Amino acid sequence: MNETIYLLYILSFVLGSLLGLVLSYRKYKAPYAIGKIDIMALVLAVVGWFLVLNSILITFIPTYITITIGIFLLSMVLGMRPGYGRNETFIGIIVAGIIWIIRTVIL
Amino acid sequence: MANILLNVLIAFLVGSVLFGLQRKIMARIQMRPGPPIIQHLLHTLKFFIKESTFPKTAAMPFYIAITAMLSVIWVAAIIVGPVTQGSLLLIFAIYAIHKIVEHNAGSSSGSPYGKLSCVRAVFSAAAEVPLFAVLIIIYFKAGTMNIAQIISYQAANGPLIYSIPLAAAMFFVLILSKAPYSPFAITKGKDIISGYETEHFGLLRGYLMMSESTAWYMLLWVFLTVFIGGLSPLWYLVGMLALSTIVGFINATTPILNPNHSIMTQVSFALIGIVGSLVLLLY
Amino acid sequence: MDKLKISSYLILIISIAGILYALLFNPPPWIVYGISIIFIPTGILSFGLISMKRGPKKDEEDKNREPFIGY
Repeated sequence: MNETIYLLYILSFVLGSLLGLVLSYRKYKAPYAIGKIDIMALVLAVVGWFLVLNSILITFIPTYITITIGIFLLSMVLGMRPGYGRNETFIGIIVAGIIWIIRTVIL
Repeated sequence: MANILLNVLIAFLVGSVLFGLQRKIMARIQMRPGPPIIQHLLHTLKFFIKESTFPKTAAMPFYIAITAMLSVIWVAAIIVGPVTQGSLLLIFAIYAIHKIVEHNAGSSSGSPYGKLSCVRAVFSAAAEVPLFAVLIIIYFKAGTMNIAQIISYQAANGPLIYSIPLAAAMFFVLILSKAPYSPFAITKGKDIISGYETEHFGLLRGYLMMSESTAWYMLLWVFLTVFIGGLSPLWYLVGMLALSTIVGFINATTPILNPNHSIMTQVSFALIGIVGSLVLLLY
Repeated sequence: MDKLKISSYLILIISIAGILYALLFNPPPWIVYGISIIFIPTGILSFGLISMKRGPKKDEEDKNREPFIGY
């Protein structure tokens, strides 16, 4: 992973966080909600973390593109309005992590 | 040149996100949600489009030039570090000039808070004794102060953090002193409003924040390179995240020490570190 | 345009010219380091001075440039 790709990942993280912040402020009106899980954020988080950790499973696109898209999606959830997005990120990490463990350790 | 521009951009972005992460961790420890992780980056960019005023009592071209000076030295650090992997003595010189810039930024504004911070910056140069001791101990252990040669020494003999752990601890205390809200952050403590940045408004404040993000990235980079060895960018990121998290935990649970106590604590750590490292080296 | 804006545009153009020269013409390393150390910070500073918002014109007469007579 050379410097240009590293910069690409970081820019994707920053832009994703920015977009997540702006969109979540439009969507959620209350300052801090507890417990409710947003389906769209959950999908974004699971897909994002899956693409970051398990990009090798997708063979028809170069990995740096899928990892960039994955970082963009996961940072949209990570950078949401403070108080939101925690549970979705956690579930995304667990799902992608289980697939990663199955892929590298067991198989 | 493209390499230098890439590294400057990476340093700025990663440093800002790490500062934001640190604030987030501090907030979570205090059981509140905290700002978004990119808040520091957004503030830095916001300041560039705000109306800036230049105080009447500022020593004029110097007051603006000193903010450019901070950026000059940390761009030079990026050239010495990731780009050319040069000598650690230059990193030490850059750290010393950073203190000088803190001093001059405080004294070039007309504000008494700036002047107090200027004096405290000179005071906190006592923290450079451990830095110089770390360099000497690394020289005794690895035989060189050149970063590229230290990396190859560690490839052959294992990471220096295992062989000179107290030097790594002293360097960590140094990194801690550069973090916001740390117990040793006397030059920017809230008791003197914002210290040397109090009278640098708008654009100049954003510029100072940008250089401080770069400085944070570079300090973490030097720690990881010199004590753990040449890593791939992914492991650098993991290491920087780990260090920022540890610093965030320490900052959330300690108060800002009074200047005398801050210096006494740092010099005590330095004494223990130096004596301990020399004992470990000799036996 | 006032003096500050003109001088910052000038410095921005010089900085970008210096950085482009170092990017495109492959000078020896020490020239590249010198150019990057001087022109990257001044480029950012001059860009900031250009993008900085000015106050509204109607407040101009309220901001009297009074002589500094000490504290």
